[in-house]
Amino acid sequence: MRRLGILSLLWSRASEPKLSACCPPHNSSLLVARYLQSSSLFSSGEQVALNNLRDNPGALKQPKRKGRGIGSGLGKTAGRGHKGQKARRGRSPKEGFEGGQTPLRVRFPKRGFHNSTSLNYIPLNVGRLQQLVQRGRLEVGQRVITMRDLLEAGAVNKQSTQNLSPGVKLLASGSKKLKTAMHLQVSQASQAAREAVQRAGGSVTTVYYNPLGLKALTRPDWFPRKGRLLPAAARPPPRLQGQHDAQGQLPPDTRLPAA
Amino acid sequence: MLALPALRLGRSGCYKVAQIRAVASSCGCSAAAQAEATLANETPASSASPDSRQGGANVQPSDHSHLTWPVLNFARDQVGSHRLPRSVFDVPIRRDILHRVVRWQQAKAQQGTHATKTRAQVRGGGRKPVSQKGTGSARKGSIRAPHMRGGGTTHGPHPRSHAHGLFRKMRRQGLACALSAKAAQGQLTLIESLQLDSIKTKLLDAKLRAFLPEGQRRSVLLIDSSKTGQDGGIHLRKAAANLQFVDVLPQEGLNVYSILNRDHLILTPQAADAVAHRVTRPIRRSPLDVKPSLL
Repeated sequence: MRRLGILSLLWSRASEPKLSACCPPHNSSLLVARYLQSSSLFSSGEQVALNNLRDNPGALKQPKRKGRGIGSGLGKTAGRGHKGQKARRGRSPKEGFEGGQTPLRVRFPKRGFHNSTSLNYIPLNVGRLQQLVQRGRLEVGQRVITMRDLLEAGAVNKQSTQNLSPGVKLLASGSKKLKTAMHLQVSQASQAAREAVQRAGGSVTTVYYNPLGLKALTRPDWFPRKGRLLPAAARPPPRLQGQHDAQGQLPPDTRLPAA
Repeated sequence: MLALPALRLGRSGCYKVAQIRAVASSCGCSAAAQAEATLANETPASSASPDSRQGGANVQPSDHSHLTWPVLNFARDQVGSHRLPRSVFDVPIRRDILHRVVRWQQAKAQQGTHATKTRAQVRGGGRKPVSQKGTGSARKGSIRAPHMRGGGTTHGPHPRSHAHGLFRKMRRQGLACALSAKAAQGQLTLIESLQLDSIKTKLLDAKLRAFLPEGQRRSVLLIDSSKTGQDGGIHLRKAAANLQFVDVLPQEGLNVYSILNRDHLILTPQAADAVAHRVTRPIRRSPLDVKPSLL
């Protein structure tokens, strides 16, 4: 079928329903006819134009229009019956109310706490880096790899946090596989990961960027688009001083270190 | 408008080559005839040869992933051929997808400047018209209350955006469906260049009338690679500006509504390549990440 190319207008195997498996044979021709009638594909001879487009039957459900007159059947009380708690507006009975018994949120004591100062770095293992290099998704050797390169190569994703904040931490899993020399700028690195990269002939520099700095690092085009200036890189706050090799730069200095 | 005669499926579920050629020639569209003759070439039972009008040009047979489409000039002579990916120019034509994309486009384009005045916005009405008690009539707080003549409107329309979302995959599929529809109907033509020697509407009109198959109305969308490109550019735009039913868009602007709004779609090969690249490139990757080797 595929060889016939543009002539697949009328019929496409891919969209053909699998009828034989589910229907008795005497019924199948009727079902095929019905399917073709409701098919979303154009039949032959039919012109594809703005005036004969339509959605599949049943694809959209019209919302109920409550309180819009007797004829609608949902006019006066709008399906809420007469008077009482459930006839009123808002959520009723109120959320979490369990008919008078002690609700769940009151029954048990509070437990645990949320540490608002903890920094949950995004983990990245050196084995993953090697994998990306082999697949041609991460280019090494031309310049220092920043967290922007890691993001664009898919080594880390920013789904879980805003703009990669607080940053990427390099970890050592898969360090035996690491063979390519690469020079990296990340937020944190474990001692073992750092040694693994150095054994392969590369280097790791830990750099500090605050959340805005990470945004400027990973999405520098956002700022001119909004008519804003690229921010200057921030100094680390007192509690983080001494935890990085260097302060981040904007735009980053990606020259390779002298050998 | 061009109407294809009904094609019937053979017993094997395949079109018969003779039927294809008959349809193509009855369309009076040599591009379609050429393309379909090319297709026919690859079926084992056929002995079809390229249309003699094309000067017997030797067109490479289409493969599984690409269509081979003739490239014409303004005189309708074939000057070459071009490969079009089937994933963009030969997909099943889904009516519902096209419908959704067109609805999405139109919703986005809706101005949404409809407005009514509420009781607060209607002029006047600050004074209590009659005293609260003693009139024997209903209580009235303002002459602009919604139930009063000349009063404000409750829950009336106010300026808003009508735009809604649509999955990017569906938008792309819609574009592929629209392109495939034009290809299947013999209304897609590749032209070597849309460059004009001079900015004359009369010149372009004459060229288009000569270019389109005889007896068909001049309703056409012309696509070049960019507003400043070598294959159309500013000359084309100025010449076409006053021609009714002739639209010009750069390839970035190619969209489902504009395609379906006109009978014929004429692309330059560069524009076709750019559109195919745009429709098939991975979603949610920054442009920096897309390496040519991965495309």
